[in-house]
Amino acid sequence: MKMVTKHFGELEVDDGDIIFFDEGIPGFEDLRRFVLLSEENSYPFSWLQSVDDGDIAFVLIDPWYFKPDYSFDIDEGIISKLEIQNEGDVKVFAITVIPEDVKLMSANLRAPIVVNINRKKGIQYIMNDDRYSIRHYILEEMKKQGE
Amino acid sequence: MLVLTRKKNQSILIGDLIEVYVLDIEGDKVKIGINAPKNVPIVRREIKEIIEENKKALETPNIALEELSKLMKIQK
Repeated sequence: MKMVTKHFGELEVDDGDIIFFDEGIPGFEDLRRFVLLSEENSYPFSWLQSVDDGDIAFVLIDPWYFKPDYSFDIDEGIISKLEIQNEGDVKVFAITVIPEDVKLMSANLRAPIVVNINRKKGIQYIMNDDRYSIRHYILEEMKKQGE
Repeated sequence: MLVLTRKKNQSILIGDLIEVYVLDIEGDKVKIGINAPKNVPIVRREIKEIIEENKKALETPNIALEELSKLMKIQK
């Protein structure tokens, strides 16, 4: 299907690429269908584009790129909801806030986007873990890693 | 902040319409039950923060991800 998006203009979306967020994403509960998009040389960043609303797209980051020791347990309930059978099914991303001063970009490690790439099911998983917050300043974290 | 001590199965009233029960206590977890009118929104605090952060994430300035990626590599 063809759709018009804010960031990519006209976009051809293959039905097989659509990931279903059955609970939506907090604040956007009505939007259930998303696609993961990457741009050339954009790693560790990618996009989570809503298929239901072309204006809605989140920047994602691979959390391990700036926080190599990031780890969390996923609830049994979520594992069955996403039909996860093994670790290879799972991809994890963090929603990234990019302010005008991009050096202050931050990632939400408390509520990562967890996707079963094989079953095409996703969720924003809100963990009960005080080690992580909704705002980790990415460049600051990288500096810490370098020390 | 008003601080009250309650035991399991005891409750507090907020105004006439809202009642908050302590249903169970296990280690550092407390199970809470709330009776409130339907028009009173009740969410876990962190969900409200996550909703706000998600909304903020949409206000991305017009910058190519490739530029951000370069910024990261300089940092590394």
